[in-house]
Amino acid sequence: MSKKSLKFLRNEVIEEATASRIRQFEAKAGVTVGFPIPIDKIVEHIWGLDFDWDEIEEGPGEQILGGLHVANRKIYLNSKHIALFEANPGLERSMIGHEAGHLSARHRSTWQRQSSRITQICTRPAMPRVKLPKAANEFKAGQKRLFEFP
Amino acid sequence: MTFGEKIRQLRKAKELSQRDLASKVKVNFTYISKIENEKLDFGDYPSEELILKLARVLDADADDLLILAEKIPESLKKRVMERPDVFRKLASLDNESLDKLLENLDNDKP
Repeated sequence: MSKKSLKFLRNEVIEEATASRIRQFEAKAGVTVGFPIPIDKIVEHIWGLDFDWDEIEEGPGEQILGGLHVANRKIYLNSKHIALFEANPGLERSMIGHEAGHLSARHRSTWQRQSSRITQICTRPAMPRVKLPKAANEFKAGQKRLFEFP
Repeated sequence: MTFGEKIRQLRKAKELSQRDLASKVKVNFTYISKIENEKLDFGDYPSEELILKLARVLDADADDLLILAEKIPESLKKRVMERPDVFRKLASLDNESLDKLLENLDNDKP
C-alpha cells in the first residue's frame, strides 16, 4: 500500500466512529458496555470479523503480533506470543481495535482495493513473511509492532 | 456447513468469545480458534466428550454436532449393531429412495 492512499484521520473522527460501533453493539446485544471494552465481541458482532490464532512466521529479531486479512474478514493473532498477550491484555485489545479500524469507513475503500492481492499472498500453505508496508510502520509500540498483509 | 463454522455460529449466537467458550469447556482458547478455522492436525480432532460438552454449553443438538465432526453418535452406533441388516439395506439406497422412505415414514406418524 502506498503512503499516498492513506488519509489522515483526526482523533475526533476515530473516537466518534468507535463510539458509534460501541452503541451498535449495545443495541444489538442489549447490554451497556463498560471497561474493559469487549473489543473482541464488538469486532465479531459489528464488524463481522473472525479471529484466528495461529503461528505467524517471523524473521530474525522480528516480532509480529498479528494481522488483518481483509478478503477473509479475519484478524490473525500470533499464537507464538500468547504469554505476552496474557500479560498485557491491553496490548491484545489495542491490536484488535487497530486492525478492525482499517475496515472503518475512511479506510475501507483503500483496503478493499488491496484485497485481491492480500488473498493471493495469504492463501499460501504457510504464512509468508512479507516486508512491512511503510504505512503500517507508523503504528509502533516500543519494539513490538502490528502487521498488515501488504 | 463445517463443524468449525457451526461452532463459531453457535458461539456467536450465545455472545461468547472464544475465551469464554474455552473456559466453559475447559480447553485452551487457541484450540477453539483451531476448531473454528478448521486448522486441526490429524489426531487433534475434538473427542466425543468435548463435542458433547460443546453441545451442552452452546445448547446445540449433540448428534448434529457429532455428525458434522464426522463422528457417529453412540445411539446410532448401538442401533447399527442391533440391526445391521436394516442399515445395510438403507446404505444401498440412493437419495431419492431415501427421501421417499422418509416421506412415507413421516406420513405414517400418528
